[in-house]
Amino acid sequence: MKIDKVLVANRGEIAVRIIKACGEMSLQTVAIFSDVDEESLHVHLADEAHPLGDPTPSESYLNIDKIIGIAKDCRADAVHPGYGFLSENANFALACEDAGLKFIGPSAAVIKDMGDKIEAKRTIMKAGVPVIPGYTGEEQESLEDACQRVGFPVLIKAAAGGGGKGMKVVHTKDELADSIDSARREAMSSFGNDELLMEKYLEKPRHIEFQILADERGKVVHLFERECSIQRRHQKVIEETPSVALDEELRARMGEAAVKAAETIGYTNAGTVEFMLDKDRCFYFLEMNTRLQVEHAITEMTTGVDIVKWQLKIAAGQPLTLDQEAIKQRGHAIECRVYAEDPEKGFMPSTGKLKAMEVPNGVNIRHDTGVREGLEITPYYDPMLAKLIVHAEDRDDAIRKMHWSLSNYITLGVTTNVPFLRAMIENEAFRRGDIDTHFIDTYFQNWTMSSELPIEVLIAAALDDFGKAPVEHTNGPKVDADEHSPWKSAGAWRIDS
Amino acid sequence: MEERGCVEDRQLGVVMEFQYEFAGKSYPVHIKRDGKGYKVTVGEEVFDVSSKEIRPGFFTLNINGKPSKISMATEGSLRHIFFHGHVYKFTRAEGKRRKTDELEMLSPDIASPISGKVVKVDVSDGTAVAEGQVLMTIEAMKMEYQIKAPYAGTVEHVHFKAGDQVDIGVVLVNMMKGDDPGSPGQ
Repeated sequence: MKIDKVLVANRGEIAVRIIKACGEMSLQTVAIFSDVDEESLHVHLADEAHPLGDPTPSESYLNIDKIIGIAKDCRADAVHPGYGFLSENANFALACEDAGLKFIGPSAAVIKDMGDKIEAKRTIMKAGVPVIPGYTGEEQESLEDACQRVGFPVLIKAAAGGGGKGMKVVHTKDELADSIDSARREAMSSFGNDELLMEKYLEKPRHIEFQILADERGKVVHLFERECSIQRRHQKVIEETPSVALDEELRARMGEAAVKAAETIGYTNAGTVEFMLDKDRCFYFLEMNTRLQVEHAITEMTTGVDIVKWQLKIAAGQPLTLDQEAIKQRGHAIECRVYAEDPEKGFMPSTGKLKAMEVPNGVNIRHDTGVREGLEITPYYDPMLAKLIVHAEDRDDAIRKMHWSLSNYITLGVTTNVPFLRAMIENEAFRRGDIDTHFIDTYFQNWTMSSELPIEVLIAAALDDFGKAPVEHTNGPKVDADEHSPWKSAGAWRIDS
Repeated sequence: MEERGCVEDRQLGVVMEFQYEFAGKSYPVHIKRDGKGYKVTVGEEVFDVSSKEIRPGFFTLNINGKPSKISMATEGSLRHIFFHGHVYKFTRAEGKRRKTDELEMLSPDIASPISGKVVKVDVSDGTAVAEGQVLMTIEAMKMEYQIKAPYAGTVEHVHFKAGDQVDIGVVLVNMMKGDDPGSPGQ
């Protein structure tokens, strides 16, 4: 099928990422935006942009009718859903198909099978890939009874979702009822479906996932692993590739399992097979993400493959010309997710105007964002502002590059987790690669920034206030404050002092 | 507490004092012009300072001959200053402000730490609560946040119900401290 015009059914950094890939391939792009996103980067980068109105997710980026309507009106050929929002919504994929629009992703049937985590586990288990014991909703028992059978701690999660929404760890029977209530509400508000799953909570597990690409002619390859063990509330914060936990043999076995899982379900386009790897190096299928991942960029850095462009080419019916043997991992890549949140206040989302933003730049430093200086960060959507990605020859070098980059990452006006990211990068266990999904709980339970103001900061504040203060002279006229601005004076000092 | 203000020093020009508060501590700073630069006093130490604006909000400071890069944004009395990989958020104290702990004693209200939607209210007017007890749950950016009682006491008034939209800083719940041995005037 010929694709000339793509509607990007998303916002933020991923909409920008997709629009850029389309631009490079000379495809026309259509952005959509809610009222609060009118000034966002993706709106200005696309060839055309159409309003969604009301910023409430269900009225904007989750509104299938509105989005399909816009796509038809502007004569788009295809829709790229990005991640989150409607990306794993089978009804949306179906609605696209019905409207004659190519959905850039797997078929609606595959999304439905894998989105239904119950179906996913059953199917993948049949393919001979191990899964974690738990509750799928089909057993002749209640969720509560199943928790007792599997034994605490257990993990409860939304059957329809991903990304940590609607997920709760329950350590004791006493917490169970409240956790189920809360998980159901989060699941309902995020995915419109309050069905829950449960599984055994593994000890010291690592989260290892494999990126796959599959064309519409049955060819499947994997682009190696990503280690995403550094998570907070089951939301990934730092990802890296390769994983220090895998050797060649285990990597090959897990890669084969991922490809086999994809082949079994007739997967097409880009996808991710998520595994848990326990302390005894046993791996279990966790779930399949039938979409582009947030952290796809680290795979792009180490393999040199542009995953988004391949998504577009595969959707257009082109054959996958990458061969498994020819795909190599080169060097080491790390991604840090920059969130608008306050690490000192329980990671509460922060909103407000992004008054200043200056991001690091340099060899093999990539910054994917949908915001810029002067924009308002609103409470409506996910608090991720940007992804900072570095690539270097080895892990130590990548860590040093990330540390430098975070130290030079300036955002003012909206509190971000950058100092927290830097503290994690400095952590000794992280540097050794001794990480698991409890890393943040283990080392950063009550993390706080320095409680002292450095002298430089105090002096800067005083200079600024001095410049702004109306100066009162007992004799003579009032002087305009700006003329007294310390920042206007060149200062009698040299840079080489 | 000394009030911030201008003092005319006949020999050396205008000396100003500013006071900043961060993490419960007060930092008084004195500053005056000194030729092309400034003399800044923090505690007992005096610094020779000069400065230059690179672009709006981005500065180079030279303190006793040592250069530093600083970025700054202000919002009312709030200061956001980036230095060495950290952003310091603190306030400039106004002369007549009460001490923070005094304020807490006078208005033990629970303000919303986020803008979002109330999804569940667990208490009503008159409910006795223990420290750490969940008062209500607010959803923002698709995640739930529990608002907990910072101390034991009695709920005087709940201002919102499930489904209401709340802004950051609005009072959600008025509380009476319960562990206070009697109220003033008893």
